[in-house]
Amino acid sequence: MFKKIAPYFLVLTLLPISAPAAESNYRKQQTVPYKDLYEQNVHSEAVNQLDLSRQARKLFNKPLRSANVNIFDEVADSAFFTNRHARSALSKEQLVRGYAENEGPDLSGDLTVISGEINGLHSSYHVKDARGDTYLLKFDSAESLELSTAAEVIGSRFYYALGYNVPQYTVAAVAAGKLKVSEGTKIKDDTGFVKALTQDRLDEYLLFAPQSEDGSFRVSATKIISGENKGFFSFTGRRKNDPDDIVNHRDRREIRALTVFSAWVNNTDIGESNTLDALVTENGKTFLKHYLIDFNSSLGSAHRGAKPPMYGHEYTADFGEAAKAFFTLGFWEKPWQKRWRTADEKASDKPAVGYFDNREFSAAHFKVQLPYEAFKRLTRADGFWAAKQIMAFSDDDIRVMVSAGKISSKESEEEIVKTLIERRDLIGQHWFSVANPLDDFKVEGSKLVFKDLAVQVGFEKSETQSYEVTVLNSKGKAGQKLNVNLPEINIDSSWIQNQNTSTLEIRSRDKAPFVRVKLDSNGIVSVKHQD
Amino acid sequence: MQNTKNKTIWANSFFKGSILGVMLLASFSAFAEAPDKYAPVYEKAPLKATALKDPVSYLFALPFELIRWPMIQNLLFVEKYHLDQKMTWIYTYLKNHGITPSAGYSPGGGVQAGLKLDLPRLTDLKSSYPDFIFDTWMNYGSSSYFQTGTEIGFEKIAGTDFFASGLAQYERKFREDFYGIGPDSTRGDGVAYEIETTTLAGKAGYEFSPSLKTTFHTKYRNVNVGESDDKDKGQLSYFGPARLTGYSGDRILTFAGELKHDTRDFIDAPTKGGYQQLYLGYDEGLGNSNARYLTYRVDAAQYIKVGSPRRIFALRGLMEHHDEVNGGNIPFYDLSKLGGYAAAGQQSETLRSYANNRFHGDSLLLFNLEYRYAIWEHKELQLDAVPFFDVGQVFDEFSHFQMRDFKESYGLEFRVYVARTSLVNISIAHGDEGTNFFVRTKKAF
Repeated sequence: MFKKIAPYFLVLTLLPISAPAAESNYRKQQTVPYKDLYEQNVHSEAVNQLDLSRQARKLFNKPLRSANVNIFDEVADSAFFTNRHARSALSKEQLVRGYAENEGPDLSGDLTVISGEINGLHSSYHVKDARGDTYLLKFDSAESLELSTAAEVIGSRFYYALGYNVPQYTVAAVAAGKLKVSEGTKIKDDTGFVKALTQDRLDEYLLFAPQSEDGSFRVSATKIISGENKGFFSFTGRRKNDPDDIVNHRDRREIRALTVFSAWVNNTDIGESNTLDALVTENGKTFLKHYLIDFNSSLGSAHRGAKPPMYGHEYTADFGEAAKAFFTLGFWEKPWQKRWRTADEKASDKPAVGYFDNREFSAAHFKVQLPYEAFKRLTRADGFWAAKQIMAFSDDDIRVMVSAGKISSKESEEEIVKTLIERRDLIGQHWFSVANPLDDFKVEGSKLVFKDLAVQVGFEKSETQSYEVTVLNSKGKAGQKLNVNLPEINIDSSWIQNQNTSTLEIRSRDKAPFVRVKLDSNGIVSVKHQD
Repeated sequence: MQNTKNKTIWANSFFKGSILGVMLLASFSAFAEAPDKYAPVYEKAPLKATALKDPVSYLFALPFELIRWPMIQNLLFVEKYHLDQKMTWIYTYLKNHGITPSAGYSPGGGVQAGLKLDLPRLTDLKSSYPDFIFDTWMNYGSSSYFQTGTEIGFEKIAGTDFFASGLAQYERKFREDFYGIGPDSTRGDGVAYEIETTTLAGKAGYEFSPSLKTTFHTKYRNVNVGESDDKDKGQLSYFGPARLTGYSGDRILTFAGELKHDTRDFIDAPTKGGYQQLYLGYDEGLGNSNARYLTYRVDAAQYIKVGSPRRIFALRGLMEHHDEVNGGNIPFYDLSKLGGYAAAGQQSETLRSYANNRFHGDSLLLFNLEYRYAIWEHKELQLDAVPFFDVGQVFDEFSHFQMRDFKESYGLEFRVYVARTSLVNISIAHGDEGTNFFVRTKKAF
């Protein structure tokens, strides 16, 4: 029997691997947390060990460069990412507003509930407002007032300002009695069964949602994206039938760098399950736009309560950390255990803060819940690029974006701001030290000028910095060597005259990673930071 | 300031290129307006799709890919229809309404299934009579046992700390192993038998505090012993009726008292405290039975933190002794048993690298040592690694106790807990008679 069906089974199994997807349309891709968990934490963890080229790159320390960086070592705008704050500082108004199509749900009329979901004591509802727009409303838990709703909105502001596509998120106060159930509305409750939702049943569920003194419910309102939902996007491969999707997502710098950005805002739930592809038409072109969604596991929040202590330090199933604990007979105290112990095994006493601080935080070792290969392939150049984006935010920028969370306690808000500022600097310090921090190369007159970002943000002193310059010949062999104390290099015309182009390899200290700047008679041809 | 390191090159370059240099510098100046550094201009344009892996690596991954597709479809199906939630809800709903189903598998016991009915809950009487117990159950292991019974009683009598209950139970074990009596029995002599026990029992006691209670038992048992259908093992008759007391079965009346002190913070995964249990019983054969003996039993365990609740040193000591009274004897099936990893429906004490029921004797001395340490935690889930060492022996009289009769067993166990309740454990144990592998839902102590 098995022999008979085996060939068919083999063919069916291999089809998804080998056959190109249908060209005609964008099929909706399905993912769920269980699938994501299995694929990343079990399947990929095993299969990646059998990837010969990956192992060889590890062995010979030859990381795979991101495939979508342009000649200036930047990421060009795409359906995944738009250079925003780091390219041109957004105004305070833009930062606090984030991506916005309007001011949030129209609360002048009733909000009609069209579907809902109950998880434990927590509920969320899809509603239609008076304008006919659809929103997803999520509530805080009674024990962690303002935590989850603020995290959702604040998280979205950061990702948007960094350059990602996000839906519109707002904090709203919905008056009790505004939520009306429409005929035929269904709800999936804790039992897993879908049931009819009546007004009485809704009122019952809302008893568990915290109400403010004026009787209103504080919610985060996500405006449902207007384009056609095409499911999630992978962090590994690409959609082969999307002509705009040429580079494997694993090798897209903005996807790899998500781990750095998520470390900053402590979003441990970043993953394929929290992405969405929507078929949209903009400027007359219909294309797949790639969104990040669901940020309520940012900052000190997760699962609508304070973040569990191991989040950010370990994957859901972390074989490496478990092995370390196993071989040390449990005597090695894991960083999260130490942090939890020194916190007296409790989160902040400020409910809106949850569990968010920088004790035991390591920019190099931050982990989201699942071990995506894209994040593991982050190179020094990718990390530097991400850190550069992060360092573009001033203290005030951060303060303004956190204010979008509308946290009632200024003390709590300031604690979040303080942690984010500290963490920004920790991330910047890390990547500006392990990667080459020189950037913004320009030819001015006969000089190549650049910025030392480590100096610019105050991690290093300009007086102590010097730069080692090596002129490479056309074969990449080192020629003339110079040392300069200022971030400018006099260009010797002979460098270019002899071979039409010339590459300068610049290091900010001996044996530090380099940045290669290629010049020709017209100026800079390319910039490449060492991976 | 620039430091020239290669002056020759510098000088040559300067003079040779002076004229052209002026032209080049002029063009740099003209290009002072920096190009758009975010433009989609690539070194190797246009961007091209590449394979995620090399062909050989694809081939290596093939076995995993074969599993991946059906696995993913299953997971999508489970989440799409919320089967996990539905199953949990159904189980909780049934349990809250007095119906507790159970299922499992063990390598020795085969597929197991059971059902327990809590009749006061089932009939909505629990709220009116919260202390009333009326349970009935049925358990079945495909190649090991069948059991059904009922217990009626009160957890608290009239609001006091007295409790009492009565029990009726029928149990049939299809295959019990027997290797002879004493520490020198050999594994090759192993036989299998079948045992059928009908029990009527009553117990009453007093709970002095949540950690201390005493219980008195009275029990009547009708025990029938027969040959097993297991063709792979020898028959009990190999040992002969003359050598085995209780070979023909017995009717036995038991009177016993028990005192238990339990200070564990969690029953399944204690981080501190311990328990001490004293048992004294008298068994008297009825009718033709010549059974007449006393049973003394001391069982104690202590759980000690090693600097952290994530590292626990657990130590258990068990001593049991049966003493014939007035020329009576002890049926072989009631002797102390040692070997294996106590599973559902089995009384053999834990000596993991040996077979279940491997040793029978009048007396038993056993020590189990475990070092339990957490190696992974995720919210309420916890995985412990547990190196263990078991050492024990059976013997006849105390005068026959010899250190050299101790049997050792050591190994490693991995245990998964949910909210400090044991979910599953996997262990491997090695000793003089080989290596055993176990998958269990319950742990040794």
